[in-house]
Amino acid sequence: MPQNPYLNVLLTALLTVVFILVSSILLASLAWLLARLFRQTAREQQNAFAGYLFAAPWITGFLIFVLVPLGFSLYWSFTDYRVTASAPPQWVGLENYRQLLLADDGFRASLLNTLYLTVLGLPLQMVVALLLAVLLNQKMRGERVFRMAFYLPVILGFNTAVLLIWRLMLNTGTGIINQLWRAAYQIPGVSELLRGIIYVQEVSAAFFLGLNNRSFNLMYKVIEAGFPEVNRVPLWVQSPLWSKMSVILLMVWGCGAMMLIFIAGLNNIPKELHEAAEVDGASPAQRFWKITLPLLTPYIFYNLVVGMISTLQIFEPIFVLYRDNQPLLSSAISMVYYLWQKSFSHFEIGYGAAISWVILVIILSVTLVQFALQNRWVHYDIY
Amino acid sequence: MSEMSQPLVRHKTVQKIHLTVVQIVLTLFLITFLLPAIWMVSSSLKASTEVFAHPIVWIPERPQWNNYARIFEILPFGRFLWNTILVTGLAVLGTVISSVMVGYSFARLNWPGKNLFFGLMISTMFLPEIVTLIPRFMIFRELKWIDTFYPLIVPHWFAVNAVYIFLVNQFLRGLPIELEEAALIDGANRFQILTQIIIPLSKPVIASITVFALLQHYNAFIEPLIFLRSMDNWTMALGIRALNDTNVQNWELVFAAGTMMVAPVLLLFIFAQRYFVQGIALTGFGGR
Repeated sequence: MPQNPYLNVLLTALLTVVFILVSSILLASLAWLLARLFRQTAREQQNAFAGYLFAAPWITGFLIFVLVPLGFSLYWSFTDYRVTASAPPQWVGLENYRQLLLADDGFRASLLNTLYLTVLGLPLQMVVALLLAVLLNQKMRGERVFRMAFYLPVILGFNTAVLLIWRLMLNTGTGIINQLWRAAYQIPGVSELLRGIIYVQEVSAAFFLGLNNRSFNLMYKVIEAGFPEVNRVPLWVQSPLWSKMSVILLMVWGCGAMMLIFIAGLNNIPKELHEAAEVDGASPAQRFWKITLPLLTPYIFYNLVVGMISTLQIFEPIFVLYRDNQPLLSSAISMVYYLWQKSFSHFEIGYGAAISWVILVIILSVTLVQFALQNRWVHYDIY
Repeated sequence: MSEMSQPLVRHKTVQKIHLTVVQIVLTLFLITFLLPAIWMVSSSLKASTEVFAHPIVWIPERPQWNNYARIFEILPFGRFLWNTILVTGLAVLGTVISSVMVGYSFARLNWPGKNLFFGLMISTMFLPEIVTLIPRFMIFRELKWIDTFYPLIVPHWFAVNAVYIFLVNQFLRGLPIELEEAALIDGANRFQILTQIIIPLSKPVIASITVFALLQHYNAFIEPLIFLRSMDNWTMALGIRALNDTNVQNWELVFAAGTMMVAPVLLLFIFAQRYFVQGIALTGFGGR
């Protein structure tokens, strides 16, 4: 049946619309019938019909694409289910979870890497976002152009092409970032700073890798090698000591969304507060720490919650940077990447489902903890 | 008075210097942030030997416009482009229509159970998509939908992205309710109100959803990666990834393909920034 595939797509779209219409009308009629059974007024019956009629696409979609999948995935997470074996799911109880949490070094590594990005990358991203927002808040000429340019990476960052470009930019020998790094060595005084950055980063990354591999030999080696010599450059996508830093660099580059939220927060701070403090002789630094920062805490909280949810799910940057770089993959792999590997390249559906539920529980608990702790440091009362 | 004016003048010069410093710092940041884009565009026109030349070549000596033609010889990018347009177009269309309807129902209609469903809808915004990815894959596999465009289009006709519903909801809540009540008294039904009153007034929010959805589907990577198999069905994003795999010798082609793919995004952003900003202001989501 060689048909035009494009025509088939259009036909399916049409069928979808018909399906939605029919299911919507059925759902709305059901609501109307129920309203009638419960002896509600004619107006209320009409409201029930119209309300369900318009909300029905989402309600059916929620059932088909969210609730039912969630149920299946929960069930599969307790089974041994491999697509390649073409056998039905075998109930194994908590075995998947036991292995995942206690015996799977691969998952352990992916969890620790993801936490590394969350604990180190996210705060860095937020600090840069806040810095840019404060600088832009000075209301000078061209402010709008700057703001849009800083937001642009968020728009571009979704794109595989741009992630690929980053990979080339980070190339140790020929990449543009290291070319600039080498050029910076010519500036007097900068050399020590650059070498210091390399040293601190390598030692701390080696310590972290040590935690992961349960052996600190690498860290001793890095310390033994001593302070980096002149003209040393970062080995971005070449060394396990730098693989996560490259991802953090990408995260910081995409801080524009957070910046826009901070700008909105800064705009909401009453001018009078700053003016009063200035009259009282407060220095700009004092005003920042005593007025700006406390009043921004709701926005910091928001960025932290949303940022953590998205960082814990990071996938694409790591996929594009390291997929075909097997030696480095284990030093950078994230939880979602590991999930992808298990389910869509090894086709261990049951095990993959268990991973996805562990990720969900981690994200949920981190978010709940943040909401529980917010009273300690977030100030809503001033508004 | 004369005693007061002198510190004021000094204050002004200090402020001027301060602003200049801020502007210089911001410009440095600006260059850093735009570096990838600038490098990509300039490298897309370079000859093979110039791409990784040392020192960096910023402006290619002789712009190689035919780099852009050569990408089409290596992989069927014309086909990828059509696939992308079809998938993106249909998915965006479905998103807009269904989100407006559902958003209208949540914002303006009173129906039993609304608060429960609204809560559920909000909570799906925080549900990691990855959790439902495996079962969705298995469902589509049962339907024999793997390696077709359907999994990338059909769910979006059901307003599966709650963010867009939320956006419409937030916008409609800001419109005066009297308009609708007057129309109801005149005997209009809910469908007429939606099409004749609400939709004309919601043009800005519809534009916002459209630009965000366009961006989302045009750039989509994980889902096409999982649901599409044969090269005939690939979208641009998959094609560019493959270009990287198959053609490590000619990096300038990767840059050219990248530029080609990013250019529409850039144009969309430049001409529709108003709607991006509005979408962020209404929901607080930065388009992530």
